[in-house]
Amino acid sequence: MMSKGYLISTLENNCFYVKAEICLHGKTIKNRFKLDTGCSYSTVPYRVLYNVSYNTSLRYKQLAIDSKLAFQRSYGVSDTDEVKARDKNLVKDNRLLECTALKFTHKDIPITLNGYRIRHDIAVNYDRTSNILIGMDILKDFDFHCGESEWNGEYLFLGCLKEKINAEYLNELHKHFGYISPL
Amino acid sequence: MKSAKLRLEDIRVGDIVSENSLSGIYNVYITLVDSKIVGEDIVGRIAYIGRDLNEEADRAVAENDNICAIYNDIDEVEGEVTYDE
Repeated sequence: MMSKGYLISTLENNCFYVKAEICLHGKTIKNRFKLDTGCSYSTVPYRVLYNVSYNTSLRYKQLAIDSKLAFQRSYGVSDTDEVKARDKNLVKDNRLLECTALKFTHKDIPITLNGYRIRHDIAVNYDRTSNILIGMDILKDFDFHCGESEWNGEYLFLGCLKEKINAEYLNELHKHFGYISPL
Repeated sequence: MKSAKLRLEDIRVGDIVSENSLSGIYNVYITLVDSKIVGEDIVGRIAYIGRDLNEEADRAVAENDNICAIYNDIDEVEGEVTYDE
């Protein structure tokens, strides 16, 4: 696939979805990820990514533990204090396999989002079946704009890595939002 | 390739289909392999169809690459549940 100089996504059901390609645990995955500016850390649920049984997912979680991948606990707004306290104790007791809130960081993973290539650390949860989210840990590295396109009337996310701002991206900014390029 | 909106009874393991064509099939796990992103869609060969994820689903992933895992949750589509991550 030809790499683009920017990332663009059209709002669909109140979500910005992107077609993503990612390589994890030796397999290349193609799937639909959601851009989420309210998510602090990108989350990739292994079971959703691969359609595998819970037992297989736990085998890979054990691999992540054995490989001593960095991990952190992660929750949604509905998780209770009781759950968080229980998980904290599980981690303290080194019962990591039982703690479903853990996500393990895989370093410097190549990811393609709607044809736009980046490399970034990705955190994988091996227990949950939530959406696949690209959060602000990745999006903070972008210059991005959301709004109604002057060109086609669609509500768009348009972005580009800040360190790789290019003419193609600036042209799209002008086309959709009327921004004038300073270059 | 089968590309119109498909029903569960239309598809078989081995069929080449697009992800979008499966968007009307709910609460069924479908695994595409050898998949490619084509424009706004993903096209691949069906390696698993099932109501649950079992050893056969695991095998479809273990023996193949370029995986596209599909599960359309009817409750999410109908707005009965939303995710607040």
